[in-house]
Amino acid sequence: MRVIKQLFGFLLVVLFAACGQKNTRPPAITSVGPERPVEVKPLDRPTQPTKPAPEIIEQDEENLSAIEDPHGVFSRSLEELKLDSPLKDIYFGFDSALLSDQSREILEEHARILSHYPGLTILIEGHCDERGTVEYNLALGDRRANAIFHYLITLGTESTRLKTISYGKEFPLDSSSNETAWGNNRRGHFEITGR
Amino acid sequence: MNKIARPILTPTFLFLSVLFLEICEVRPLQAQEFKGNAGQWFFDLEQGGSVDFAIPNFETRGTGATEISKLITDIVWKDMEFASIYRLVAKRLYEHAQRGASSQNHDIDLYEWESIGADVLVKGVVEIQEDKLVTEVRIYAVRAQEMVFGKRYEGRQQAARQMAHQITDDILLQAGGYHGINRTKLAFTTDRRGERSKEIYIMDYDGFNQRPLTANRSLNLSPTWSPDGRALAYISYRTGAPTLFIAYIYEGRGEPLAPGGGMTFSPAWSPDGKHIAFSSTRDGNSEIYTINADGSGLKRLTYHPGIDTSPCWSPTSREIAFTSDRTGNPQIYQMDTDGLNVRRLSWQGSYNDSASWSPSRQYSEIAWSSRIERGPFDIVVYNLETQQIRQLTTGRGSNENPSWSPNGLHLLFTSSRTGSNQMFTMNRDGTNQRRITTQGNNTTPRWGPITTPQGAS
Repeated sequence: MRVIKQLFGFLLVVLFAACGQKNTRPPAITSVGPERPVEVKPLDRPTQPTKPAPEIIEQDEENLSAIEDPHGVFSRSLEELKLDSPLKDIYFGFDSALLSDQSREILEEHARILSHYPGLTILIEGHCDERGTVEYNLALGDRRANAIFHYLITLGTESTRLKTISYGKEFPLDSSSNETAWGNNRRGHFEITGR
Repeated sequence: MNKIARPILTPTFLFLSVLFLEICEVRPLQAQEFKGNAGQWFFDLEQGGSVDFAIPNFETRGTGATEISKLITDIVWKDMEFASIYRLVAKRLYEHAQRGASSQNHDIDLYEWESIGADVLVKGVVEIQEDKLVTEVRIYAVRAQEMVFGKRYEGRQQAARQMAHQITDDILLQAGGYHGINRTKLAFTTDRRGERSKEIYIMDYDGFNQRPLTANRSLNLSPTWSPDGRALAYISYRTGAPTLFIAYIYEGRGEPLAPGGGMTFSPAWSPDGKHIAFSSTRDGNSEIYTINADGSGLKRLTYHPGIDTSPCWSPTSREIAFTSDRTGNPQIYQMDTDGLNVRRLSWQGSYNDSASWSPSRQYSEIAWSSRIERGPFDIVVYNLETQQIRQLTTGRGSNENPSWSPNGLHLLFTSSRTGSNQMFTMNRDGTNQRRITTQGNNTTPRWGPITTPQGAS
């Protein structure tokens, strides 16, 4: 009996994986263009300045109706979500749109949040550091946003809920010119556009 | 479609067009004064040597013209210095030459001017007639002892700067056949209006008369001039994804061009005026396309999974240089306008981008920004004939986005050497670097064309 259960479970997993792949676009790696040395080393950057996790969750819990709101997506306004989004930024290497292990972990968390809130729609913004031209960085930002887009889809997020835009190097988080600033600016940012 | 095609007519836009149309009226001075033989004083500096100009303060006739004549003289001096073609005899020597003439009750004693080393004397008289500004300019070939050029300029008083620039353009054309850029405009992107917006601005080549072309509080980038100077193509985020727009300066209208999926960016207007090249991700990856300026005839030129962007045209409009990272990092390539015959031009540096092809017929060269080693970017120029590179800036801040002057003698570029991104100009040999903006951060500069007929008489 136990064996059968396990087998059944295994089958389910296989089926799920197969289904998942059916309507996916090509996996993320193909969207990043020409072969490059794979940069999977963790990014040595100070953890980005984030505020502590929202504590509103508990006090608002009683107001919640049908769906649980562990990330405060309903309890806060879109403006508040913009300032402290449950969807954290991910970071890239110089002139690269490859998703590091760390970034993929973060995106898996994003995919879980997106599946928890089926009404959530997001705009994926690709950003770059200040080096290089406006034009090349627009293309690079687009490639970064697309890498995220494709990875979220392989994780099961419906493509209709995701939009991408590249802001190139136009909107740096930190406008100083040093490695730390550049590292913080080479980012994928997620703006919640609807819930 | 119609929804997108909102007119972008704004008050600032109208303002701009009015000022642009401020052209001085020009008349040659009386025919008998044109007795000079141009051949005797036309200077060919290719033979080496130098030619020295004396330009004393323009005199005034009547009252009220003192300030304006000082302004005009000052601008002509600055224009001549900028051109870096002729030497200027120091002003402190002029008093001697002028005193000699007045003691003999002559207007001008050319022997005196010769004695202080002047080859050419430029004399001007400024007069205000009611609300009209009138300047007469006479040019004397000192050794030949004759007047070789004379012209009378009339315009509104507010057009004094423009008039002065026109006088210098005439001097340069008459003296050596140079096409001066003193009346050209520069277009650029600036964030001076606020952090989350970037607007396109236009200004004179010397940084004066800075005015907005867009005022939509969105992201507007990468202006490129039509060769007649009457329109600019640029990128705007104002309808969402970056889209190509054309602004017709004088008509005060603007419209989107080349609509399609993905984003459209990095436009470049061809020198023959017929096409606009641009990058787009409409087919999933950043590729280069061309489209006719009227929006017809979309053509895809590149088919490569790498990033292909920043197209720029050769002066014949038959080739395009562009940036591609197909070998792993951004490098400059060249291709024909059918997308064939692709070859790589840049071999030094790990990151080369933002090519600008010299419009000069004399010099066959392309400027781009190059990242040498891991430092910041510097402007380099590639000679297409010798395939040699020369570096024009060296390690003071990041120097990017070169754009040639329409005569191929100067370059416009941005530099972060002062802490923020500002626009600079320099000569094609890297000398004479000067800052021309101070406000905000300024990017994607493009030098506009020479639009007024030169030496019209």
